[in-house]
Order: sequence, then C-alpha cells, then structure tokens
Amino acid sequence: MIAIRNVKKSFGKLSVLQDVSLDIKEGEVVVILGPSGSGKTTLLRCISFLERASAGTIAFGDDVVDLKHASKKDILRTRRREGFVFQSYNLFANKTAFENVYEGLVSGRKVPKKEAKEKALEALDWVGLLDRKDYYPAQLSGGQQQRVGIARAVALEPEVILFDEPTSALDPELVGETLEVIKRVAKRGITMIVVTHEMSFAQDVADKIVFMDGGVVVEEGSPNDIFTHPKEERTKQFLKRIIGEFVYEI
Amino acid sequence: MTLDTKFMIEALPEIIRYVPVTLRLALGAVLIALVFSGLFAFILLKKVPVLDKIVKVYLSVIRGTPIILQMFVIYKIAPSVLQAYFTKIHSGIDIFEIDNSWYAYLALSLSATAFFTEAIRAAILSVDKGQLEAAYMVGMTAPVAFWRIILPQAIGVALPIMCNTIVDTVKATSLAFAMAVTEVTGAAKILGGMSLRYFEAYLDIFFVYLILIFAIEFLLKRLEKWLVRYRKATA
Ligand SMILES: Nc1ncnc2c1ncn2[C@@H]1O[C@H](COP(=O)(O)OP(=O)(O)OP(=O)(O)O)[C@@H](O)[C@H]1O
Ligand SMILES: [Mg+2]
Repeated sequence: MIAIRNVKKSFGKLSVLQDVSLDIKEGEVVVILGPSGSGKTTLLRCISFLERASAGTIAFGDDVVDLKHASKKDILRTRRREGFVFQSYNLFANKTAFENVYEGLVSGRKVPKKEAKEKALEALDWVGLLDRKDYYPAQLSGGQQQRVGIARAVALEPEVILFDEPTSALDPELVGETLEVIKRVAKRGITMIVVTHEMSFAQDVADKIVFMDGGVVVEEGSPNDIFTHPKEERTKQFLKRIIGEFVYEI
Repeated sequence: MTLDTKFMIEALPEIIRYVPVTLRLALGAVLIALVFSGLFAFILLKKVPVLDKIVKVYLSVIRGTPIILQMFVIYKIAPSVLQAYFTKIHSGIDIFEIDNSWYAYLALSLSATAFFTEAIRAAILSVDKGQLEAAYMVGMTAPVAFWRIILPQAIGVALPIMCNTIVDTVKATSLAFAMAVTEVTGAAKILGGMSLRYFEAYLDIFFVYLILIFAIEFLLKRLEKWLVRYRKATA
C-alpha cells in the first residue's frame, strides 16, 4: 500500500496544498478530479520530488520518506518506485522511440542491455508502436509520443505510475487511442494515480475517485458514489459544470 | 606592378609547410578552451559563489578588448611580471626560455574560452526542462541525466555558435606572428621580405586561409547536421 500523508505545499505566500492525505491500495486506480488550480499537478510533483513539499510523507509499505527533508538517496529510491507520464510527453528529443524506453531501463534502472532491449521492444509492441521504434519524437504524432511515454513508464515496472492529464495536450481525434492504452495499463493491474478531465474515462477506469479543490481533498469514493451521489456541494457544482460543458459541446 | 605568378607558385609549398603550425595553434587553443569553458559554464549555471563573479569579470574583460591587445599583454607584460616573481622566490626558472607557442596557446584559448562559455551556457539552458524531469522520473541521477540527455542536445545547439569561434581562432593564429611564432602569415611575411614580393606572398596565404576555413566550416556543418538529425520532423 502507498500512503501519502499530510502533504503541504506553498509557493511563497500562496498555499497550494493544505494537508492532503491519500491511500492507494496495490493495483488500485485512483483518479483525481478537480478544477484548474486546485493543486492536482502539484500533488503529483511533490510525491515525485519534482517539487519540494513544505511538509508531508509518502510511504511504500513501511518505507516512509519525508517529502520535505528527503536526501538524494531517498529521492532516487522513491523515484525508482514511481513512473511518470507527463502532460507534454517530455520524450527525450534526441532519442528514438525505442531509445526513449531503453534509456530508462539502462541508465535509470541499471537493467542489463540485452534484457533492456527485449523489454523496451515488448513495451513498444504493447502500445502498438513497434513499427515506429526508430522514429524520433519529432516524427511522431502527439498521440504516438504519449504512447511512447506510457511505454517508457510501464517498461520500468514501477510500483505506481503517475499520470498528469495525459491527454489534455492532444488533438481531440488522438485522445481516444491514448485513453485506450491507459485503460490497458489499468487492466494489467498496475497501481495508478491519474489526473484527468476526461469524465467518462474516469468513471470507466477508476477504482476510486478523489475530488480536490483549493488544495484539499473535498471528497473521495467509488465512481458511482462520486458521479451519482456526491455528498459535498463543491463536488456537485464541479460535476454539473463539467457535464454541462459536455452537453454543450454536443 | 605585375603579378609574379612564378614566385607565387614557388612560394606556395613553402607557405603550406606552415599550415600544420597554424592548425596546431588553433586546435590546441580550441581544446584548452573546451575544457575551461565547460568548467566555466558549469560555474555559471550552478551559480557557484565567488567563482561565478570571477568568471563574469573574465568574460567581460575578454569580450571587451581586442585579441591583439590581449596578446601583447600576455607576451610583453606577463613574462616580466612572472620573471620578477620567479627571481624573488629563487625558483631558477627562466621565463624567457619558455617556447613562444605557449603564449600563443594562452592568448588564443583565453579568447575562445570566453566565447565557448557563453555558447555552452546558453545551449544547456535551451534544452527543455521537462526532459530533465522525465530523466529523473525514469530513475536517472542528475549527472547521468546531464550526460545522456541534456549535453548531447546542448552540443547540437552550441555547435553553430562555436563554429564561429573556431573560425575566429584559426584566423587569430595569424596574430601569433606578433608573438614570434612562425605560422602561415609569419611564413608569408618572411618570404615576402626576402624577395620583396609581399603582395604575391600575401595573395598566396589569402587563398590558403580561404580554403582552410572553408574546409573547417564544411566539416563542422556535417558534424552539426549529424548531431541534430533527430530534429527533422518528417514522418
Ligand atoms: N512553480 C510554481 N510557482 C508558483 N505557483 C505555482 C507553481 N506551480 C503551480 N503554482 C500555482 O499552484 C496552484 C495549483 O497549481 P496546479 O498546477 O497544481 O493545479 P492543477 O490542479 O494541476 O490545475 P490544472 O487542472 O489547470 O492543471 C495554481 O494556483 C498555480 O498557479
Ligand atoms: Mg495540472
């Protein structure tokens, strides 16, 4: 189990996370919803040390790491338990699709080269991009780049994969294929924390939905609880607005 | 005045003999500059206290003065000062026995280092920070991420700018004659002086430099193209 406890984060005077705690069971898919600026990205970045939290801990089993005072060694160890799929893909521009996956295994995890090669090819095949393995990111569509990003994370077999709005930078027609791949990651039983604005996808894939607003967890529960019987007023309003927008788009 | 083409042709091999000296000076200076500019760029990017101020002063001094003046300072003033110091500490080193090439290396690399430092610093900053974060999240340490991901891309960005500096350094070797190092320009001057056919001798080296620099630019362009091959966005 992964236990995130009492995470706080301020940027100067602006308090962005005000005591966020979250439990994630093994194999669970947790989807975080919330309006823009509610601190979703910041939470993912704090538990991966891309941002230094002002307070809080993350525990993998009984390995508790202080998010504020972690040493370089703690950070490396924690990051090697995690995978991250970025909104803007962040593929290594100077590496081919294959090398993007391979490099993580070899330089990030010290997997022997032969094994790394097999794993990287397998992961690319799994996201349906084996025929693009020698393409550089600049030669791939956004959807393909994000699938490489997902392959890069999955190949490392981390204990949890963090997704930060993995489809929101994509052209609408490429969102579907990418969400399909993420659903397959979930089906593999990989533990995931997903920040998204795709409601039907969230409903589909989530074991647990966490609604954040103003730097706090307002409400959490099963997709059914949250989407059909939200308890909190803020959750209701948020859903009404999002689903309202959705209707409007049709 | 008539052009003595016969002299030009005869003098050419004599001059070409000194091309290796020119190349050695330029290459030596560029290699020294590479080492120090890497170090200086690191100091600036890491904002190492005190040292970064020193590097900044050094950059402004070098960029703000002509290279020929820097050479005079190094060649005329520095040895006397150093000699006085060596005599004082009774080291027994005679500064005037040091090969003049070393002053040339020093002067040329001093200038190249300054321009390389700027190019490398800017190039490293130009690499998207998201890639560094991605490197961390696949489990790379900071040094590994730098060598595997950031530096290879930064070199591609820095190279066109560094190419200018390299060309400038090759041209600046012609000033080494001022420090009593005989290279291509020095050879032309000597040959011209012996035959009083300066114009022909200089015309010879005019073409020698043109071809030399054309060749260097051609090679560096090829290298750059190869380094940034990943940028071509043709699926
Ligand atoms: N590096 C930073 N410096 C200062 N303020 C920041 C920084 N990063 C985020 N913030 C602020 O923190 C707040 C939360 O930002 P965050 O990106 O976590 O929100 P979010 O929930 O991910 O929103 P979105 O849905 O738009 O992605 C915002 O007000 C944002 O302006
Ligand atoms: Mg966000």
